Amino acid sequence: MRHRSVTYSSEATFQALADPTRRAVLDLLRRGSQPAGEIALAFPVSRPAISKHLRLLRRAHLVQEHREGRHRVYQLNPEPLRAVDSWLDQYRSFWSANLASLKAFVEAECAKETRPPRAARPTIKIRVSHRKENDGKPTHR
Amino acid sequence: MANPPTADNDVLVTEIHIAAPPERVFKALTDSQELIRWFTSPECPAKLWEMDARPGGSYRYATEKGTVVVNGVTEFEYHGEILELDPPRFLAYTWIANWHDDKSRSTVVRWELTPDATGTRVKVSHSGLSQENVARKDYSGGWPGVVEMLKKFVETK
Repeated sequence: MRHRSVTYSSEATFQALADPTRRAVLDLLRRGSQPAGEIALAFPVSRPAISKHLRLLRRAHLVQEHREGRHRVYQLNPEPLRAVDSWLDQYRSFWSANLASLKAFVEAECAKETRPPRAARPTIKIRVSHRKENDGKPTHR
Repeated sequence: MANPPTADNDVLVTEIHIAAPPERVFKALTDSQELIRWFTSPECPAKLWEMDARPGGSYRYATEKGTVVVNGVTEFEYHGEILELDPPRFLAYTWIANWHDDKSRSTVVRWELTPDATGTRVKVSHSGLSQENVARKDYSGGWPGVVEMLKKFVETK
C-alpha cells in the first residue's frame, strides 16, 4: 500500500489538524468509515470545501480513501497522530519530570523529619507482644 | 495528568499529589539548598539554583552541559522575579529562558498548593506560551524547541 512507504510529515499533520472542520471530520470518522457524500452532509459547508478538507487530510495520511462502486469512502488512519502525541509528551515532560522529582524529594525529606514520633508507636506495640514470649524480660525502656 | 498545550491556549498545566503538608512542599520550592537537590536531572545537571524568596526577589538557575539540546542550547539558564509569595499556598515568578525563541520573553510560572487529607495537591501552570505561536505555526521553533524535538522524533523514528 502506498501510504506505508512514506514518512509522515509532521508539518502536514499539524497543518491538517489546525482546522476545526478537519478535526471534526476526524471525529466523525472515528465512529466508522463514511462516503464523501455523507461527510459533506454532516457539515454546513459547501461540497467543494469539504473535498478540499478531505484532500488535505488524505495528504497528511490522516484518512485513507477507497472506492466502493460510485462512492469514495473515507477511513480514519490515526497513525500520524502518534507523532503529535509524542510531541505533546516531550512538551509536558519538563514539568512532569520536575514534579516527579519534587514529589520524591519532599516525601523522602518529610519521612525523615517526621519519623521519630511516628515510628515509635508501632515499634513499642510489637515489643509488647513479644515480651510475653520473652519471659517478661523488658525490651523497652 | 497534564493538559496538553494546544494552539488555542497558552497555559501548560501539570499536577501531582505529594504525601507531605503544603509547608514542606513550599520549602522545597523556595529554598535554594533544596531546589538544587531536586530541580535537576542527569540529562540537565543543575549547577546553580539561587532564589531570593521575597516578593520582587529574583531567582536564577543554570545547568552544566547535559545531554539535552533544545533550540541549539545545551547549557540551560533561566531566571526571573518573584511575582507572588503566599506561603504555603501560592508562588509565582516570571520565567525567562535562554532556550526560548525570544530569550527575553517573560513567561509566568505559578505554583498552587492545596492541602488535602493525605498531603498536598500541587499544580504548576506555565503561561505566556501562546506568544510563541507564530514561531510554532512556522514550524521553526516554539517553546522550548518542541518542534525541534518533534522533527528529531519523526526523522529518527
